Amino acid sequence: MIGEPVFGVIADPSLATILDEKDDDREGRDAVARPLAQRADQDHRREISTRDRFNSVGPKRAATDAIGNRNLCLGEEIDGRNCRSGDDQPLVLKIPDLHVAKPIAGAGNHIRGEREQKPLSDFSGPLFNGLGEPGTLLKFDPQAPQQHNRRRKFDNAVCAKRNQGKVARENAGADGYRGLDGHPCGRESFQPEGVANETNSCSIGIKGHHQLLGSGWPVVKESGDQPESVPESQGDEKPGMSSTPQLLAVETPVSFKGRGDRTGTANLRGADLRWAIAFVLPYAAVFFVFVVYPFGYALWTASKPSLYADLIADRLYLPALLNTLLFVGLGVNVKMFLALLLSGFFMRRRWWIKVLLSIFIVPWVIAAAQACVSFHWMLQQEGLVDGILSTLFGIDGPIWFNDRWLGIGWNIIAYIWKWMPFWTVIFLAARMRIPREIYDAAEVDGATGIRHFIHVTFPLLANLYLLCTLLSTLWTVGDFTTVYLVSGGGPAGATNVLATLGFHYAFDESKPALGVAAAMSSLPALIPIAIVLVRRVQTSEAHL
Amino acid sequence: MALGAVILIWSLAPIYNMFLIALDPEEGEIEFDGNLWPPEPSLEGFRAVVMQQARYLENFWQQFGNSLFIGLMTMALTVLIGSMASFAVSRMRLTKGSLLTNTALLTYAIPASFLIVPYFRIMHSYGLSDNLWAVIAAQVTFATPFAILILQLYASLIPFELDDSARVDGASAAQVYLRIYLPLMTPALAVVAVYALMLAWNDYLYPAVLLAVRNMTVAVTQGQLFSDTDAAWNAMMAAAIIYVLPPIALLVALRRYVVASLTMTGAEA
Repeated sequence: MIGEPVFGVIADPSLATILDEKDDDREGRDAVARPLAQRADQDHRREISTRDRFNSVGPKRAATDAIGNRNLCLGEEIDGRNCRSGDDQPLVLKIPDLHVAKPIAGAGNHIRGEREQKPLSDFSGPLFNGLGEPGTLLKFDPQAPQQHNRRRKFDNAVCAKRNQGKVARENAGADGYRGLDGHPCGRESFQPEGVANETNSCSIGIKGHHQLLGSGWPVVKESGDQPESVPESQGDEKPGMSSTPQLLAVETPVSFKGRGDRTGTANLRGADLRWAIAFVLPYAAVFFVFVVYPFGYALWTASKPSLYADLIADRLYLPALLNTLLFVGLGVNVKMFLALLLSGFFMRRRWWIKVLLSIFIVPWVIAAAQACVSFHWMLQQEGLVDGILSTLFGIDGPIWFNDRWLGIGWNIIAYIWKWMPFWTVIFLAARMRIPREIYDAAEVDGATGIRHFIHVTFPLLANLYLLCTLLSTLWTVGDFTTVYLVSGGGPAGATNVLATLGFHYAFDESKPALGVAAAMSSLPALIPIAIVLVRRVQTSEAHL
Repeated sequence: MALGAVILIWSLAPIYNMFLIALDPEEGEIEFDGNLWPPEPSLEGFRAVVMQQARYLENFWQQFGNSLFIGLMTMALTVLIGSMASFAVSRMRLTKGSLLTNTALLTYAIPASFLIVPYFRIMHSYGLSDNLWAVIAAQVTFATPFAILILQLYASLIPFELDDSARVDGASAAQVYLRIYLPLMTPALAVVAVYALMLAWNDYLYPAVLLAVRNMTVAVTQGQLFSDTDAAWNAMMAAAIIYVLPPIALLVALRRYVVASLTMTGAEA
């Protein structure tokens, strides 16, 4: 039991000494109080972040959670969302109804609010309930008898499961199972509230509960103790875990066992691990067969240095490099900026704006090939563009594609035309996630119009904007279709970008290695961008 | 209002151009007379497409079928593989799951068009040359990492208590996936499906290189008329318009989910 990894948790040897204590063994209690007090410090520090999370702007705290625990605010309730005690600690208890003892408020107890994603190794939290609900506090709710039966069945079932195979079977109680201390599971063995009960460890933490006597945890019988014991209370809640290492030792099918990879050991067991691997396997196979092999082949092909000498000597390469820089630099940034502005436009709630949005998305939906060919033929002599120019301005358009810079310009315009809708929708979705309260608060402070955008919207979207710009840069460098089909590489290859140049070398000039080298020559720029992108996505996961 | 008009013109101009050419009654070489409006609109182009009577269009419906097959299989496989991997990483919280996601995103470090020569070679060595599955595999490879990312982000909005209560009731991992995860993720799955279909439907380079003419898709054939001034332009543009219709139909069918996923995140805030 001790030292054995349980749910990824190592039971603390020092806590084991509590198992042998009697209730009023104060000396023994003090012996464990110190390490537990240390845990309390960590807990306190962690508590602050929990408190901040708990007290942040968010949905109102529900009256009951999914399992049937009640959320009871022991302190002062502020607008249904925050709950504070005198010393500014959050004070909401999750309260299933076990009639164990009455709570007494204001003792400065540490409380986890909703069940956060806490690691099971977090022994230093408040009392475990030992039923696989780590992080929730000891429960007592004299005011909620209606949940009694549900809770009772759950407790008995878990208690029973917990005791399968344990020694106490020969003294079977009414339902065939016993608590670890020999007493039968089942409600009749739970003591009524307020009575010190050292016998039944199936009841959630009752044993530990009573070892908190004098520690500031509220018990009706010892109400006189609380004020003095407040300073110790932070440390002394931990004895509640005395009973729990044993309780935790049994498999309880509550969640996918474990809480992420914080403990460093495998957090999924048995059937779960097999299923997880089965789920990941298809993508892993796809990745190895279709990503690793081609990438490796490409890098190997492109690793001959003589290819790069050939590239630089070739008359097509350096102009293509410049074109790529222009195409990517202008294309991406102009597109993103316009997408950001237009997302604000599309936020307005009018019916015609919604229709306009649907029309606006059509360019993204059209196949790139057809759209680019359409652009190409739009720009021919006497095409649509010339027609518009002669109608509106009475001039003849130039021969667009005979000029390198005009060709590049139209490539960029076609590119923006095709891809701006996509990013506009992304920014629109992100804008819709901004809570209205922030806008209202800003308006109260006098921000309108442009200042609204500069001081409120843009800072909130800045991270997303950067991520999208980086991602779009990666995609744009590889954009083959647009350039190939709009300007076709331009007059004698003058408007090529690296992607089309690679294609040209490989399939038009039958020099595939040179083509791969031309494409790979952009890697020194791409890899840093990819790394920065991955890092930023990692650090800002929830905000995308 | 003015901005709305600008957006309208900007978005629809090339598409209007397509219609303009498609409605032209003349076959053969297009003469651009500088018209803004088709002088004699006729459906000759559309008829030629449907009857497969124009050059380049002999196999239009077969190619259309190829495109459809590639698009639907890409969509199905991306959704399946992406949702399974994302479930294992984000809901079951597999150890080192973030390693998987990051490695997946490395797929985008080298753009797809740079890898066309290696893909050409390896499809040949896998025995998949001139096979629709080669294109499907390539498209799935490039669509799945983004799908995993989107699904993971969306799943972070769904509380874990739902999984946990299912587990308390005795559900296995597969049942949680089927009964809890997939139904709740429907808007995100719809977005991923549309994205994958768009990617596969509109791709030019990979079908052009990996497939021979026999198995070609419509998108590529359309692109190949770029240099041929002798084609029946009205028919080609009519074919282009017909080719655009299925994705639009899908988008319209799934717009409720796409819009729902947008507004859900808005309502969440």
